[in-house]
Amino acid sequence: MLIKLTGGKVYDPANGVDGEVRDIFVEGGRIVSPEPTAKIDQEYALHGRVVMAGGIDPHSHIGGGKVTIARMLMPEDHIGQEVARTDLTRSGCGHAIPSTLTAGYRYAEMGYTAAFEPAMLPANARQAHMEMADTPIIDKGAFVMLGSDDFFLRQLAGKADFSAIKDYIAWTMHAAQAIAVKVVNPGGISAFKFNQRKLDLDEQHVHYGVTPRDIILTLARGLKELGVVHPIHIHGCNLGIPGGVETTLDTIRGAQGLPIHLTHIQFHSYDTEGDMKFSSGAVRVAEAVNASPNVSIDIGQVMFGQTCTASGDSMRQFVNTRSADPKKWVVMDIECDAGCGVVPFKYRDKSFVNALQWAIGLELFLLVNDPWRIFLTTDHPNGGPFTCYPHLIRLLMDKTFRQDMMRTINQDALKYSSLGTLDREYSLYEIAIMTRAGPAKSLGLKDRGHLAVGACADITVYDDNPNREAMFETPELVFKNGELIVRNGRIVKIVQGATHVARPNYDIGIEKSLKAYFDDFHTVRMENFRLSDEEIIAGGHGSLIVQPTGARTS
Amino acid sequence: MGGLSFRLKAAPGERLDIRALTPGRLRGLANAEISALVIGGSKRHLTVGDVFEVAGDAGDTVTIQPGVATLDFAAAEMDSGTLIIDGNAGAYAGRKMRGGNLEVRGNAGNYLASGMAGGLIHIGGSAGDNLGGILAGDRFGMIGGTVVISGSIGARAGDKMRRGTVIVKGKTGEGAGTRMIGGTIWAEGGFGPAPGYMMRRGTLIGSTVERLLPTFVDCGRHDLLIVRILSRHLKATLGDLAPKPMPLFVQRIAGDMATIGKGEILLPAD
Repeated sequence: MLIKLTGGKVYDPANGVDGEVRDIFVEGGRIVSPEPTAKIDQEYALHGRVVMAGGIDPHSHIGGGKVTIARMLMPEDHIGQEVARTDLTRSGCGHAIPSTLTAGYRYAEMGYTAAFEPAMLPANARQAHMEMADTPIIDKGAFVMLGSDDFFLRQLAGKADFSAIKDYIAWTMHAAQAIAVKVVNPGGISAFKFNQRKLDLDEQHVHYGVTPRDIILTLARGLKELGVVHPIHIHGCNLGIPGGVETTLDTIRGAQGLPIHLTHIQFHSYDTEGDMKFSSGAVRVAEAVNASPNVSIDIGQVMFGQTCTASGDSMRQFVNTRSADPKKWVVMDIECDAGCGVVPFKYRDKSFVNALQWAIGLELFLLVNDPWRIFLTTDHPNGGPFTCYPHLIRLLMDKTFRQDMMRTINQDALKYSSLGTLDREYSLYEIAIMTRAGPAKSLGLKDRGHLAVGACADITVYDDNPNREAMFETPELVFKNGELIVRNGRIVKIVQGATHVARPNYDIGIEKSLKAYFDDFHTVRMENFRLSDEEIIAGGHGSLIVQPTGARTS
Repeated sequence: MGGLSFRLKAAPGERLDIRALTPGRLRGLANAEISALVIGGSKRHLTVGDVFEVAGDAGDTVTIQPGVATLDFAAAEMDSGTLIIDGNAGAYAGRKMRGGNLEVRGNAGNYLASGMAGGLIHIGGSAGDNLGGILAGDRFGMIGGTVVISGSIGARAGDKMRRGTVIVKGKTGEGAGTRMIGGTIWAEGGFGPAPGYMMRRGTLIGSTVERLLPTFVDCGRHDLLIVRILSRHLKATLGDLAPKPMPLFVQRIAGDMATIGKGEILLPAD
């Protein structure tokens, strides 16, 4: 069936299209260029509407053990957030940590067609993929966590051959069905198990003797040489600590030009000026990011309200338990792999600290020049649920609205941030980069996030409403694989998205030493640890897409 | 004055959620709109009109008769006016109620006054377990208001209760004041076994205790002025519903020492 989207203003930054009025043709789930004589089966007149590729969230905790723990920990997150079933959709509940089905529906209703789970432990990969398989409509994928696992730290401490380390990275990506690799508090989660309560960039792990800097550089170099498109996804040391900005700057400087992605950088941009010994380091971080083309970031913007933080960083989450609201939390070790910390948070606009966190996130958005290297996230649910994105987009696109909001928050906080001096307003083109083209390029999704001929027909059509929050909250039309799934912000059809993975080449010989390691230390045998393709797609849960690996172009 | 009355046509075959039937929520609704309100919990989507005959005009009082034990959430989140149930009420009556009066002439089910913040509840009969208790996702149980039960109550009354007053003319079940954080439970007929399990603060006043926990400590006879002030206050606010005053001297038993031990059980001293 040939579908024609007529006369919309197209924002397709990957192909340099900035608000041009164009027709788009869709057939067989792809964007096509038909013969002029071809018969149009269905036409949508989109004059004056804004057309973009489907949104892609590169960092959103939607699957895995920690999300399940958070759901169990927070029954109050369900109360009053019940969603009844309809003829099409199933019931669900939850605000900050919605059930899998509700998360999928809400993403689609917001015009997003893909979201990536950034912290999948290899040991939890099976459960994470089961939950993502349960998340309807959107495409998904996961970043596997390395860097605090014992096998890797043994390799590093034992000065193992670099090719063996690369083989292990690649083997883990295959075994856990991941598209990228994330490192969380490099070595710190393991150090926590050896009773260290902090680990600076150049501080040694008491048992293995390696430093976070070694770990980051090894993983960054390994992924580059393996040809994995998304660079090492770094949740750095010293998250949330005033003065953590120094660690962040050191990490950027220490990358030696290797490609790195610094995630939820807002939580890593705190300085120590002022009476409260807490101020914004956003200006310095933004300068460093602007000057380092090898660095990309996502923000992890804090949005006011109740949420529940869920992180693999058990070391830092253990400290955060003091601020838990409501007062309950879970911090746990997970066998040889890493750990997990779930701490409920309520971000208050009248709180000095929370208001400053909010301001720092916005500062970073406005100070980093290149939208291709900065992605729009709230680190769902850690800074706030992903349903805040339309509000966040309005904060970025509408200076007056931003200033109105600034007047309602803790005024002392604004003294320690440069937010008040920033006049920048994002354009639709830049928003399209940050929420679509940029993440797709960074993750190596060849046929997503753009609208050229041959691309997957994931398309979102918005009404060009000057209230950008309303505009991005309720897209008029959303297409997934060329099928209309959302009309006026309501689901009209359920489809199953695909799971994206990357599979770099490696030497299977690594399994010999891995097998011995699993036999000695793991509760699960190596053969059972590996996740098969069938397990992910069985029961009609979508398909698997292997994204190509290869040398980076930029 | 005046008010709406709801006459039950026949015993409903399922549990009903009647939280909508309060004077505040029905104010300004036409009788046809009231009849169309969905109160059923099943996919049959029973409406008020299916279950009740509605009569009268909107006012400060709503009367339901006869009440049966499948009518849940009576007066839930009510903030003003009077709801009279001529008969029994189901579970969760007075849940998160903020003000007004709930009068149940029969018995009430479990979780009566759970999370209640204000207002007055009077139960003519007895009430079930977890009176003033906590539900999953709540931070506290009862946080204010007054509940008077003419009969007896079930187990674990006042679980995580923070403020407010519960007066029981009869006896409490096991574990009254479990995990209590504050507030008062006065049981004229005495406490069942193990009152105050893990209580932090709060006051349990009664005639007898069936079995004390080993983590409660006898602090001796006292002439506590506050008990007399409380009696006088209850007499002034509740009239005939107030409990009979305690004797001059009371035995104070503090606990639960397994936590911070700032709670107390007050019994008549010899």
